[in-house]
Amino acid sequence: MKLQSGLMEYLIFIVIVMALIFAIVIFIFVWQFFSLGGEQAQLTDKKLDYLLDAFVESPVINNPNYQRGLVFDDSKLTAIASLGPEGCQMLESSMGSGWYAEVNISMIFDQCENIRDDGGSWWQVRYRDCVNDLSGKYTRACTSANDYPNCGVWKFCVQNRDEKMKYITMPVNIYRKMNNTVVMGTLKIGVSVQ
Amino acid sequence: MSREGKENSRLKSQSSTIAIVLGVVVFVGIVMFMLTMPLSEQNLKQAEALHMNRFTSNLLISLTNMDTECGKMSDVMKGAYFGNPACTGRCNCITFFKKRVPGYMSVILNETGYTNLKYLIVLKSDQHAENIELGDSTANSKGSWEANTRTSWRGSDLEIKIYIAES
Amino acid sequence: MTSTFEVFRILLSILIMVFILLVFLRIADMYMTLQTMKNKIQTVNAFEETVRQVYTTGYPATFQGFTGFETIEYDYDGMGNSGRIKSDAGVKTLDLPVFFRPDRESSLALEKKCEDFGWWRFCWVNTVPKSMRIFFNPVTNTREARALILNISENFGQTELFVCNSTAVAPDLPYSRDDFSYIMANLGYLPSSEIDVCDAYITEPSVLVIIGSVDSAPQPARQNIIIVDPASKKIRDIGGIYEYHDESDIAAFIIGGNSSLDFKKRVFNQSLEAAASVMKARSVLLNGKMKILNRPLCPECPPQLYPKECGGVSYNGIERSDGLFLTFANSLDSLVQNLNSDEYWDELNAVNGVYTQLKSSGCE
Repeated sequence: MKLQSGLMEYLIFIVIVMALIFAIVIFIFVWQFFSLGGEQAQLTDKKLDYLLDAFVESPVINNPNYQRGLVFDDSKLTAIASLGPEGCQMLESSMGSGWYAEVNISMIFDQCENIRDDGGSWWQVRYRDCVNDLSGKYTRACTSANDYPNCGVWKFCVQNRDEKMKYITMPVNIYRKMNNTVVMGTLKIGVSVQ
Repeated sequence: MSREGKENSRLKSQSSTIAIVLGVVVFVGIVMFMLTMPLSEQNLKQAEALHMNRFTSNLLISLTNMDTECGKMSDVMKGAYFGNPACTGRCNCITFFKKRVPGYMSVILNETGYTNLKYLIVLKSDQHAENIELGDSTANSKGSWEANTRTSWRGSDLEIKIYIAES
Repeated sequence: MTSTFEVFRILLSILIMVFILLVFLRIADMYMTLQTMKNKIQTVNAFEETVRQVYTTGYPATFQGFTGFETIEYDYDGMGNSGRIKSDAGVKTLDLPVFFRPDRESSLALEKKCEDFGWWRFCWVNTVPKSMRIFFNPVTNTREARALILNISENFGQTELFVCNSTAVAPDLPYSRDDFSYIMANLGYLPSSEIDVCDAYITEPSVLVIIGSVDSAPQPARQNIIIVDPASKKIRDIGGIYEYHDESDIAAFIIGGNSSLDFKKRVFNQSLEAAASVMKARSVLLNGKMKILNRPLCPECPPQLYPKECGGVSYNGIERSDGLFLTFANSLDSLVQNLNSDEYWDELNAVNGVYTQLKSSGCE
C-alpha cells in the first residue's frame, strides 16, 4: 500500500510539473499572438501614411505650380470624381485598394465678409445666401461637370466605404481653377481595418 | 530518523519543488507582461507623435499657401511683420493677420476633428529682435508639436513657426 | 540494496527527463525557425518600406539586408503595376513601379526617377546592387551616342561608371561623375570615330553596355553584355533583339533584361492611359466652362481670368473657334486610341506639344 501510494504521489508530482511546463509554452505562444495584434494596428497606420504620401505624389490630382504641400486642383478632382468607379480604379492602380477619400473645401466665409462691407440694401440677403452656401460652392458634392465650379466636396472610391474604417483628416489646399485662387480644405482618408 | 520523519521531509521537498516551479512560472509571466505593456504603449505614442508632426506641418503649409482678399497669406504675414511697403494691396496686414487668422484656425481645427488643441503662431526674424505672436502662448511647451517655414523680403529672413499642444 | 520501486522510480525519472528534454528541444527548434522566418519577413517588409520612402520623398537610399537569404528573386510578371519579390519569406507584391536587380551578398542602392511631361509624370524606383558597375563601350562614337550614354548614366546615380575601349580602362577608383562627362566629351576629339569593342571579361553583377549596331554585331556571349543601337532604337542581349523608346527603357533593360523592359512599357502605358482619361475629362470640363466665361454681355459672370483661346470663342451662341482645352482633349483621345500601335510615341509628343501651347497661352 505504502509503495503504491508513494508511486501515486510521485506520478501526480510529475503530472503537475508537466502541466506547468505546457502552461509556459502556451503562454509564450499566446503572447506572440497578441503581439501580432499590435503589429496589425501598426500596419493600418502605415497604410494611412502611405495613402497620404500617394495623394501628395499624384500628378493627376495636384497642381504642378506648387512644389510643396498638398495643393489639389479642383478641376482635376472634379474630373476624377465625375468618372465614378472608373476614376476610383485609376487611383487604385497607383495607390492600392481598400480605402476611401474625401476632400472638402473649408467653410471659411471671407467672401461673405466682403459682401457685408459692400453696404447697400442688398447686402443682408446676399450675406445670408453666402453664409448658407446657397450656391453650393462649399457643400455641394462634385459628381459631374454640371456641378462644377459651384461645388466643394469630392468623394473617391465610395464603394469601398464601410463602418469599420480608420480615418485620418489633414489640412490641405485646393486650387480653384475658375477663380485662380488657393483655398483651405481638408483631406479625409479611411482604410479598412486589417 | 523515524519513518514518519522521513515521510515528512520527503513531502516537504516535493511541495517545495512544486512551489519553486510555480513561483518561477508566475515570475516569468509577470515579467513578460510588464515588458509588452510599455512596448505597445511606446509604439502607440510614437505613431501619434508622427501623425501630429505631419498634421502640424500640413496645417502651416496650407495656411501660408491660401489666398485672401489681402493676397497670399504668406505675403500678408510678411506685411504684418515688416509693415509697409511689404504690406501690399488695400489692407492693413497686421490687423488682417490678428483678426482673421484665429477664425481660419478655429474652422480648420474643427473640421479636422481637433477641437481640444491650442496653438501659437510666431513670426520672427534673425535680423529683428521683436516677434509677432498670435494664439495661446502656453502652446509653446514641452511636448508640443511644431512646424516652421521660411520666407524673405528684401534680403530679410522671416521664419513662420507654429506650435500646437493639447489644451 | 535498492528496492524494485527505487529502480522503477529512477528509470521512470530518466524516461520523463528525456521526454521533457526532447519536448524543450523541439519547442526551441520551432521557435528558432519561427523567429528566423519572422526576421526574414521583417527584412522584406523593411525593404518595401524603404522603397516607399524613396518613392514618396525622392531621396535616394541604401538598403542592406538580404544576406542570409537562400533565394531572392524579382518577378516582373505580376498583375498591374506590381512586381513580386520571391524569397525565403514567401512572395511579396510591391504596389509601386520598381526595377530591382536582387543580390544576396551586396547592399542595394535605391533611387527615384521620373519622366515629367508637364500634364503628367511617371515615376519609378531603380534598385541595383552597390557592387554592380556599368562599363560603357561607345563603338559608334558619335555625339548622339555619347549623349545617350550620359542620359543612361543619369538613371544610375549611385553606380560606379567606367569607359571601356578594347580592354577595360581600369583606374583604381571609378570615375567621378564630372570625370565621366569629361571623358565622354573628349572621346569626340579622337582621330578616328571608331572605338574598339571592349573585350574585357566583366563579371556579374556588372554590365557592359556597347553602343553600336545591333544587326552587324555578333550575339553577346554572356548575359551581362548589352548592345544598344540608337539608330534603329533597338537593344540586344543574349536572349534576343528588342525595341526601346528612351533612356529609361534602356536603364530598365540593364537592371532586369527583357522582362523588366516589358514591365516598364506595360506600367508606363497603364499609367499613361489612366492619366490621359482623367486629363481628357478635365479638358472637356474646362473647355465648356471657359467658353461660358467668354460670352459677352454677362454682368453676372466673374471677371475673365483666362484668354479666350482656352475655352474657344463663341459669339451669341455660335462657335467661332475651338478652345485649346478641346484640342488637348482630342489629342489625348488620339493617344489613347493608339496606345498599342507603333505611332503612340509620336502621339505622346503631339500631346506634349499641345500642353506646352496651353501653358504658354496662360490657360494652365
